Amino acid sequence: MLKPPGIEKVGLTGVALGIWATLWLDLAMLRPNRLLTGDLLSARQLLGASYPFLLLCWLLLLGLVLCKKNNVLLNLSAGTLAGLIFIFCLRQAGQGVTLPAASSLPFARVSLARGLWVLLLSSYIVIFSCSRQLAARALLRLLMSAVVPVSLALLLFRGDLDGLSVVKEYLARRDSFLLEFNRHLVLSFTAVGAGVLAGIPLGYSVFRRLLPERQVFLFVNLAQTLPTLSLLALFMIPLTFLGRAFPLLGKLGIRGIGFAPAVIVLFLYSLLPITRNTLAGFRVVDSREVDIAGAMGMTAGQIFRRVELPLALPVIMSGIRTALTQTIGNTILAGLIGAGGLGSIIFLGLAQAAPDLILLGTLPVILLAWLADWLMQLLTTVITPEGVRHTHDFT
Amino acid sequence: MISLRNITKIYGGRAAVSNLSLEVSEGELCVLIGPSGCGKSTTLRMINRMVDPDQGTVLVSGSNVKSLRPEALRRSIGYVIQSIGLFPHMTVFENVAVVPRLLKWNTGRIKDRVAELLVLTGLEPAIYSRRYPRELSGGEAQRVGVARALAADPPVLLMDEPFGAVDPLTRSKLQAEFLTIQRRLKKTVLFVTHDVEEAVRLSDKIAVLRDGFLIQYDVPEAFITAPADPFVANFLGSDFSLKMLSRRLVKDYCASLSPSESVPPLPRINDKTTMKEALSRFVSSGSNRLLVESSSGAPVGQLELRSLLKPFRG
Repeated sequence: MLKPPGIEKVGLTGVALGIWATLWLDLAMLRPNRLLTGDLLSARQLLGASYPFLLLCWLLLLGLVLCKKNNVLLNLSAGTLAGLIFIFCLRQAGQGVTLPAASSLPFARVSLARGLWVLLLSSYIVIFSCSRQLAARALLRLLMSAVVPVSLALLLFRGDLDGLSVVKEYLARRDSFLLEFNRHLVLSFTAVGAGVLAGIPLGYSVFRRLLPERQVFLFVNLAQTLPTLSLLALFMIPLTFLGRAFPLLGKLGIRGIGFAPAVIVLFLYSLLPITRNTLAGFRVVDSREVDIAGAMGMTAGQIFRRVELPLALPVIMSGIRTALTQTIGNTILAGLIGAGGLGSIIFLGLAQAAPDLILLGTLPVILLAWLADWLMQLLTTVITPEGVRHTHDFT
Repeated sequence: MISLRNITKIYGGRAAVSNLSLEVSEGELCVLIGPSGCGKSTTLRMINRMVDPDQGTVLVSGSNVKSLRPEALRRSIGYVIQSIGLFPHMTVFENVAVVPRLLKWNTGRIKDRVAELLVLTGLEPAIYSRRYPRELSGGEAQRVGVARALAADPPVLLMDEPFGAVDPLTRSKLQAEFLTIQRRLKKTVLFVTHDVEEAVRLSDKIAVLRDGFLIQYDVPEAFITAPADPFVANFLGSDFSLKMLSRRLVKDYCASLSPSESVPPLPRINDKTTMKEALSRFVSSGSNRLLVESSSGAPVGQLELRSLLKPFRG
C-alpha cells in the first residue's frame, strides 16, 4: 500500500508555476501576419473581464492540492481542474484575434508565448501528481488524463482556436498536412505491426529455448544501440542495389530512400521492446503452475491459452505500448529519407525558419504518441485478469 | 488399483528410482516416505505420466498407463502439490472447475459440484467462490487445492507433500479434515511426505524409500515389530512407537464406568483425543487414571495408564 502522503510537494510546485505564469508571464503574442512579430499579451490583457475568474480557479486548485492527500474524489477534481484551466487559457488565446487591438490587423494571428507553455507544464505536473494517487484506480486515472486532449479536440473542432498561428498554418495547407499525417500513421503502424508479428514469436521461441537467447538479443539490441539516422543510412546502399538488381522489387517500393527503408528501420527499433517483454511475460508465469496445469490434464495448447498467455499478456502489451509510442516519435526521421510523415513538415519548418510550421509537425506527433499510449493502457487494464491486476503497475 | 512393476527411472546416469514394485489396493492410503532425493516424488509422477519410466510398467485400474493418452489419464487422477499451484488469474470457483471444464461437463453440473466440494473441504461457497488465490490464507489455499483435485471425482489421488507449506497447527487441522474426507470417499491415495508423524497419522500402509529403492512396504504397526534394517528404524526415529499412539483413539481403550459407580475425582480427557495426547495428560497430571468424557462433558469411562501398553500387532 501507498503510505498516506503528506502535503503533495509535486502538486504544489505545479500550482506555483501556474500562478507565476498567470501573474507575471505573457501568454500570447498578437502578430499582424505570418512573418512579423507583434505585441505580447499578459493573462490580464488576454482574459479581460474573466481574469478574476481565472484567479479564483487558481485559489480553488491551490485548496484542492493542499487537502487532496490520497482522497480519490479530490485528486480527480484537482487533476480535472488543472487541465481545464490550461484549456480555458488556450481558448482565450485562440480568441485573441477578436481583441480590440487586433481590429486594425486583417491577417492577425496569435502565437503562444512562454506563459502558455508554462501553464501547460503546470497542469501536466498537477495531473501527474494526482494520477500517482489514483494508481489503484486505473480506469479513473485514464479518464482524468483524457480531459485535456479531449477538450482540445473539442475546441479545434468548434473552430475556437482558429486564431492561433499554428491552426492558421494547418488551414493553409490542410491537404498536404492530412497526407503527411496519414503517412505518419501508416509508417508507424506498419512498423509496429511487423514488430508484433515478428517479436512475439521471437520472444516465445527464446522462452521455449527453440532459439538461443544470447544471439537473438544481440541482434535486437544491436538495432537499438545504433542511432536511428545511421541505421537509415546503412540500409540505403543495399536496398538501392536490391531495387536496381530486381526491377520488380523496385516497383514494389524497395529503394534506397522512401517507404521501405523507413519501415525496415522503424521495425527493427520496435523489435526490442516487444521481444524482450514477450520473453519476460512468459518468464513471469510460475513454472509450478504450468506443471500442475499439465498434471491436471491440460494439453499443451490448453496450457498456453488458459494459463501462460493470460498471465503473460499484460507484460507483452506493455512492450507493444513502448514500441508504439517510441516508433511514433521515431517516424519523424522518415521525413529525412523521403518517406514523408509529419517529420517532413517539421524539416520544412526548420528550413524556412517558420516556428509555426515546426509546431504543426510536432504537436500532432505528441498527441498521437499520447493517444497511442492512452489506448494501450486502457486495453492492457481491460485484458489484465483481475486476480493478478495488483502485480502490474501501468504508470 | 495402482500397481508399479519393476519401474526404473534414470536421470543423468544415476537411477532416481530402481526396480521398484508396489501395489496399492482400492481405497487404501499409501504413504511414500524417505529422505530428500530418495525418488518418492519421481515415483508419484510416473503414475500420471508426468514422468515416463525407463523400465517397468505402471498399471492404474488394471490398464497400462502407456496405452492411455496422457491428458485423459491425468484428468482421471487428482493431483495436489506442496506449493498448491492455484492459478492466480482464476477465482476459487474457476480453479476447482478446471478438470470438469476439460471434461466438458455442463455448467449446471459444474456449479453444483464445485459448491459441494467447497462445503466438503470446509469453505463456505458463498464467501469463497469468487475470491482469488491471493486473497486466501495458506490453509484455505490448500483446501482449494484438495477440492480441485477431487473435482471430477477421480478414483485415484496423488498428493506430493500437500500440507508441507502450512504452519503446524493448520497442518494438523488439515490432516484431520482430510482423514474425515478420505474415510468417507475411500479414494486410492498415494501420498508423499518426509514427515513421519504425518505418515503415521494418515497411512494405511507406509513405503520407505532410500536412494531409489523401496526398502520396506507394510502397515505402520509392522515397522515397530519388524523394521527391515537399521536405516528404517533410524529414519522413523526412536520415538516411533510414541508417534504410533496418535493412531489410537481414547474411546477405543477406555473401560466403561458401571452405572451405580459415582464419578471419581480424576483429571478429565475427551474421548475423541488420541492416545498420544492421553499419554501427555498422564505425564502432566501425575495420575495413573483419567476420566474419559464425551464432547458434551458427560463421563463415559476411565482410562488406565497400562492401556497405553497394549501391543501393536504388525
